[in-house]
Amino acid sequence: MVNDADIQAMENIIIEHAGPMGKFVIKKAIADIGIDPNSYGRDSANKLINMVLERSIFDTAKWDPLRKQILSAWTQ
Amino acid sequence: MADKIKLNVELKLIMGFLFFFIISGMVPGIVSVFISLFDIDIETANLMVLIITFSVSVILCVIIGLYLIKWIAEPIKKLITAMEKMLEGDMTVDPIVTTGDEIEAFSISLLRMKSSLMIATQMLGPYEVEEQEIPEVKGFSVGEKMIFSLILFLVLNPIITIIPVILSLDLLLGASIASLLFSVIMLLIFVTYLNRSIMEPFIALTEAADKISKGDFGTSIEIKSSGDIGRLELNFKRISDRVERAIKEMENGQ
Repeated sequence: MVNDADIQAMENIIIEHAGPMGKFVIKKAIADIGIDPNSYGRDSANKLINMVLERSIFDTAKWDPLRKQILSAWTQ
Repeated sequence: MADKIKLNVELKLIMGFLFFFIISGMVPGIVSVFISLFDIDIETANLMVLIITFSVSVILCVIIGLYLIKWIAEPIKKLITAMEKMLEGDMTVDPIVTTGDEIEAFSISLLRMKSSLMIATQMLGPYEVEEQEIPEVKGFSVGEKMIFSLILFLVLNPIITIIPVILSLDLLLGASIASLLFSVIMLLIFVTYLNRSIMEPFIALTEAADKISKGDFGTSIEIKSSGDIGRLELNFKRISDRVERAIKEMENGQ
């Protein structure tokens, strides 16, 4: 399950690296997955993170540290 | 932003000029002491002090000028070129500079805007090239301003050695006092000028760029500077206008 606070935390992290268009990438990725984030299992949550990173962070070397940062923000 | 700054541009400018002024200001005193060891008449001694001071100042001017250009002017030029390429649609350009100062902080904001432009292209397709006339920003570049300041000092520097002669002072005491006073006054004048013409507008631009690149479009950028800083202001404004238009398009499309 991914709640609104988790989405906001991910948005803040993505905007810090990809600028203001980052929030639209998250909205589009959620729409593409087609499931309410509140109903996400672990696979869907990982899929969302990967999709957002692939579409907004163009330096692939940043994907792993950002993935960890997002997951860390979600567990808090 | 501030925690990433190791040595700010203002400090680099002050360090460069301070080093230049202190060393070149010390030269007449050192040379005077050295010459006083020999039995040379005062006019020849003054002439020797003048020539040696001028020669050392030329060498220092070149060295410090090259360092200041490498530290400050070149990274700013790199950013201007990167922004112009981004505005032409070339997203392969790398806007990051690793200077550890406000210029690096500005380049991080620019990288965010570049990512946003790339996302906008992905989601909305390629943007149309602007047909409106782009205002030309005239004025001296940062490097030119620094070089002019150094050359002006270089030209004025021989005054140090003329003052004791005019005031009929003792060579050693006069040269030392004149050097010190001249160095302090010139340092204050040049650093104030460069700070007002380069640093104040650049810091204001860096702060605005940081806010805009995080989505605060309530912050506006005014093109009020000339030269390189004016070009940075204009290009960042054009990039932020483009990203803002893309955001409005996305919001209207939802």
